[in-house]
Formats: sequence, C-alpha cells, structure tokens
Amino acid sequence: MEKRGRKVLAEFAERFDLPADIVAGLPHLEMVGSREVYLEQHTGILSYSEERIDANTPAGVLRICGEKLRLTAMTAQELRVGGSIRSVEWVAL
Amino acid sequence: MIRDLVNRLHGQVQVRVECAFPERVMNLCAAHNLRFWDLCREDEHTFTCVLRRRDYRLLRRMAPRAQASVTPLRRSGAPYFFLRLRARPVLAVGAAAVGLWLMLGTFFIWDFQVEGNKTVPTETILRALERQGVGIGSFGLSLDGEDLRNRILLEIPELVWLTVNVSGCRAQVQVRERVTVPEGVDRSPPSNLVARRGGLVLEIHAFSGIKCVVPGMSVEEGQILLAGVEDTGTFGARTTAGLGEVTARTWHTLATRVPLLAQRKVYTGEKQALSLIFGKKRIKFFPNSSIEGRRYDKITTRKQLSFLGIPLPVSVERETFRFYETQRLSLSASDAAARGEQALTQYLRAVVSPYGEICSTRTDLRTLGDTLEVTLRAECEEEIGVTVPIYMSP
Repeated sequence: MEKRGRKVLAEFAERFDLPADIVAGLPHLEMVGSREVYLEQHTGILSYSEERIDANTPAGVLRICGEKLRLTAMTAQELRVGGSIRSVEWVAL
Repeated sequence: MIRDLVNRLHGQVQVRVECAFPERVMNLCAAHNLRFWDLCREDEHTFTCVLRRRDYRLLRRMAPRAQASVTPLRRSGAPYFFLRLRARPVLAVGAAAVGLWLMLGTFFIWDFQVEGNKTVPTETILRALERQGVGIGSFGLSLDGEDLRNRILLEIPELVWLTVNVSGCRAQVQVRERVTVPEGVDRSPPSNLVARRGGLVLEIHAFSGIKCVVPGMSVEEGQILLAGVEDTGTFGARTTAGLGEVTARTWHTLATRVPLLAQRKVYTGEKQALSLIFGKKRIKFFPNSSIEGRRYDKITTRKQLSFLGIPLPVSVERETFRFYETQRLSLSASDAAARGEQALTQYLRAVVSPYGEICSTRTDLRTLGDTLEVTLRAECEEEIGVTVPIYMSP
C-alpha cells in the first residue's frame, strides 16, 4: 500500500515538475565520476564489503559494486561511498 | 581541513568494532546520528573507524545491543591533550605563559621595515626614530604619526614625507625623499679651461671662451685649452668663463713591486657560538667562549624568527670562528705578475673611469731580487679639461 502511494506521489511530482525526492521521499543519488557516490534518504546498510555495498532505500535496494570501496561518511539520512566504482544498480527483489 | 580541525577540537577516538554483522553497528550509528569517518574494514567481522569523543561514549553504551565489542585504539584532540597536561601543571603554566607573552608581544614593535629611501640610509632614519622614542620594544598602539612625522622631517631635511604604519609587531616606515633642484652652470666668474694631464687633443667643444688648441695638438699638464680672457681689439680685454669639453689621448705608466714570497692562510679548525637576541638583550649559549691570542676569521649570520609569517622579537645569531695559521708561500713569476697587473689595472680604472676609458694596456716585468717589478703602460681616451678661476685684482 505504502509502495503504491509512493508511486502515485512520484507520478504527481513528475507531472507538476516538483522534486520527487522531497514530495515522494525517494532517494537522491549523486556520483562524482567513478570515485564517489552520495546517497540521501537511505534506510540502512544491508551488506558491506570492499567489492560490494548494498544500501536499503524507500525505493528498493541500491547495489554499489567496485574495488576498494569504503564508507567515507554515514548519518541517518546520508551515505557517502568512496573507491573505484564500477556499477550502481537497483536490485530487483 | 576545517572539519578536521573542528574534530580535533572536539576530540576524536579511533575504535575497532567487532561484531558478527558489522552492518548492524553502522546502521545503529546512523540511526542515532553518531558521525563516523575513515571507516576501514579489517576482516568480515571487524572494522575500524573514527568517532567524536561524545559519539564514542554513546557507541560504547549501545554496542552490547548489537552484540558488538568496541575497543578504543587511539585518542587525539584538544580534550585529551589537556587531560594529559593535567598531570604536568608546570608544563601547562609554561605553555600558557608563552601564549600570553606572544599575545602581549604583538602590541610592541619588534621589527622595522623602511621603504622609499634611495639616498638617505636606513640607519639614519632608524636612529632618528629612536631619538624620538620609537625603537625596538616601543608600544605600537600609542604612536602619534603626525607628531612623529613633523619631528623627523625637521631632523632629516632630505625627507619630505614620512609615515609609520604598525602592523602586528612590525613597523613599516614609508618615506619620500626631497627632489633637489639641479645646479645651473655659473658663467659669471671668469675662468680658464686647462689640461688636467698631458695628451694629444682629439676633440674640442667650446661652450664659451677662446680656443687655444686644435685637434691633433699635444698639450702638457696645466696648459690653457680654453681661455677666459678675450682681446676685443677696440675695448681692451674682456673676461668670460672658459667652458667646454676637450677629449684627448693620454698615456699612463704605473709600476708596482710584488714580493715573490707571500703568506697564505691555512685553516686549522672551526668553532661556533649561538646566541638569542630578544629586542636588544642578548643571551649567549656559550658564555665561556672568549677567544684570545689566536688568529681567526669571524662570520656572523643573524636570522629573525617568525611564526606564520609574523616576525617574532627573537633573533638567532650564529658566530662562526675559523681559525687559521699563516704559511710562507713562494709565488711563481706568472702568479706574481697576474697579481701586480690586477692591482694596477684596478687602480688605473679608478683613475680613468670618471673621465673616459682605457683603450689598450701593456705589461712589462723585471725581477729585482725577491720582488717582481710590474710596469703597466696604458693608452686612454679621456676628458682632460678642468676649470681654473682667473683671479683679478679688485
């Protein structure tokens, strides 16, 4: 139910040109080249290793793959991952 | 960098966390807003990270909930530094005293920088300032710039403007020098232009007076080149200033004797002495370093200490004493000739340069016992005219 509500809000935000991350509470993702990933509105880390980091978000699980990955900073809302990033993908559950 | 500085001010702890599921500890930290950074995974169940001092305490309390153990590895930052100082009160008092001294020291002048002077020596300006009570160690905030300027300008008439800007413990003295009006040529007193030395006249330019020589004539020392007395033919003699330029070819002969036995310095050792200079006070580190009865070269180097570009009122002076003994050395004829020629050429250049230039030189050598006589013969082109006043009976 909650997932459906979020989808409706996301569509609403898209139609009215509103930021979906604020209106629908969707995660906001930024990348700096292949060196750093910045993720807002995560809900925790599911797995952590130097090759793979899985972060839980309201929109699903975000998988960051690469080499020498490290968690440079983490707060309740934000997550910053450094290292040599090879791929960022949404994991289908 | 600023964040690192803030973290160090708050105090930070590097910890090792051991847990079956390290992600749980990370999520726990994130959920309770415990900031951590420099996370480094050691193995599957262990990682290290750095937290603030306050967050470390919270994590230590919460760790059992995540079935984790937290071990502190390294503590750093201001709170831990002061905790360590608590056990050493003298050191803490000393550090505070140094800080206070440095802070108070910035209110006083410890360094002068003089700008804008070309002909007036810096020393003269600094001495004048010192006579007005502005020197090393003066209180920088109480300077009355206008009063100081009025007094210094009276004392040094070559200056037309002066200002003293105090920045930290450095006083920047900016001056402007007076531009003197060039003196005009005085054509009123009657004078002759005579030859300063003998030679062959090459060129003559007369501004006033009567030409007594022509190019190609040889003249002797004291001979009149441009006369200041003119016979008008009808009204008798008329006096004027004999002014002009006469260029002539001249010949110089200089001789010197160079001993073939000389003395040479042989350095036997070295000694250094350090001293600290606070303003005008000197503290010697080697009080019993007096040197008597030995020959030495003394080299002094002084360096003013500075902190982040701000000059401190402390200078380090290093005195190096290089002891030597003299050894008799016999010079070869060629070395002695080179020495003699160098000395004679230097002297000749000093004599001729203000008036002209040296065209060619020739050196003759003659051995006289233990000495070598070096004779330098030079051909030069130079201005030979010199003004001599004509004294007239009243």
